[in-house]
Amino acid sequence: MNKLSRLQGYGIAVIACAGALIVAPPLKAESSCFLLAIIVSTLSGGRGPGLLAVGLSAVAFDFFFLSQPLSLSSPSSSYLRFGVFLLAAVTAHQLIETRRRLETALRSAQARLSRATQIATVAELAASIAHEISQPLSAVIANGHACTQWLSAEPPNVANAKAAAERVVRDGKDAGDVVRRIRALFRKNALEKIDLDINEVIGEVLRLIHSEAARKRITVESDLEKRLPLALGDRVQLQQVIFNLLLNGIEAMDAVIDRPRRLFICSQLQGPDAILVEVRDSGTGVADSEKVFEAFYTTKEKGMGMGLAICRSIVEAHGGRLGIKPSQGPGTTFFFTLPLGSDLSA
Amino acid sequence: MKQDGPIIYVLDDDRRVREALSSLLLSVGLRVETFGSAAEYLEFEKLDAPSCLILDLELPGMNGLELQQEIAGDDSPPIVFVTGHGDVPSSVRAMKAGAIEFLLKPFDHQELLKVVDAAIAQDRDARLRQAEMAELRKRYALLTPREREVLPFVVAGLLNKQTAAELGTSEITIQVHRGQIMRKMAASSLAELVKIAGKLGIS
Repeated sequence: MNKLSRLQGYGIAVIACAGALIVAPPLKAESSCFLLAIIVSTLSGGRGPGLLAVGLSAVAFDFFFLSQPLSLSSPSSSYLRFGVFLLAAVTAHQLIETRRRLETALRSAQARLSRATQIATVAELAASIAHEISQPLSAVIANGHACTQWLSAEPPNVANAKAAAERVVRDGKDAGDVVRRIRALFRKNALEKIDLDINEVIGEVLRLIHSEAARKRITVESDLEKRLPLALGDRVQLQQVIFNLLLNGIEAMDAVIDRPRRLFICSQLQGPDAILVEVRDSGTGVADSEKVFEAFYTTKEKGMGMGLAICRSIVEAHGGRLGIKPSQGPGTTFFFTLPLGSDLSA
Repeated sequence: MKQDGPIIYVLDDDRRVREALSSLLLSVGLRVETFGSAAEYLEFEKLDAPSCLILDLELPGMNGLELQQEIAGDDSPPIVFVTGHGDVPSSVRAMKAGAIEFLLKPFDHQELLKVVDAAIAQDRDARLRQAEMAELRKRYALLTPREREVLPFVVAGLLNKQTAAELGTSEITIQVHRGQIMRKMAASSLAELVKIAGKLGIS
């Protein structure tokens, strides 16, 4: 309704008033018919068409339904009627304004929440990320000292020093890679769909959750189909989706003590034009496989219930589907699909 | 590098950290053995030398704390924990279970070497004590049952006459036993014998 052009709005005002004029005599309810015409015009076209309808209604009423058209014999009742018409138009206009404001507020609240969950997720993993960086950094420091030590020996052991220096460079690059991946994760961009290798995206996320999984004694396995065609999507957003699904899987296994904690991710081609990614955990499973995607529905103590809702909206914005597979055995299998990229030959 | 010098066991699942620590420790003249998992470490036949275990807290499979419990008691080398997470509860648990130190990655190499030195010194002392105890036990094993009966009375400071009365035998016999005990336990004085008995837990 909001998308009508201004001209269409005025058109509706004219048609509504003409309709009121036609149906009013048989119904013998002139005022109500014109009021309805004004309200319809305002709601569909806004203030301008509403006011046009008020004018048209007043004139039509005066001309067709009063015994002495355009006379000043009964000015008070004419003014009153005009006032009522105007009031109806203004009230209807206020109503649609309020609704529009509420919608805007809701949208921005949702956006803020999605940002907040992102931050919460990242905060949960801050420790893990610190570990990811401190690991190569420890190696760099130790190698650096080893290098100087080898060089200051009598006689200097150049071969060992060289090897240590080479490891400094290698591990330093590793630490840099981690920083680059995190930066990509934080970047706040508009949806930027490009042709990308979904296995590469999965690999990047797996590296980020590696130590979190190790810490919780979870075996992470992947079965990524080689030579998969490129998918069309936003790298950062897809990372977030995969990240969320894996993290949910990890958390779902917190209570598992009687069986191996396994987290499994696989990618494969589905049909001629889509890629399928599955994330399976051996956790406690979900009770309602649709409810989990609802916003604010959560089974976690500290959860906000936004993670999967956001994931689903991201996947749908990509033209794919996100859902839960009927499970075989304990745990949950999430899947999502993505359309293939433009370059099908790759 | 001496063949019988101290040996450092490094157990970390990250190859980069293993390589770096290995090179650093080698460069200061220590022997190093590296392992990627608790299982590998457990399978390895430990060398007879003062040693120290640098142990990563987070490991796939059996983690650092579990390994610490598993090997507690068997003459396990002192443990220096290193971790990238460093949450308070784990560090408390590790220290309570007897770890030498709990280092946060990335750690300073001087700190690490200092801690490693302390750990080796501690292990060397422990090994000396163990060797001494083994020697003392060997000597104790040489005593006859009767001599073992007499020993507590001697170290309690009883006169030969009193001991004889307690055991219902002659003073001369006790005197002979006493002489044998001193010789077999390689004690040059009563004071030394008392000390040895104390170490063996005899009183």
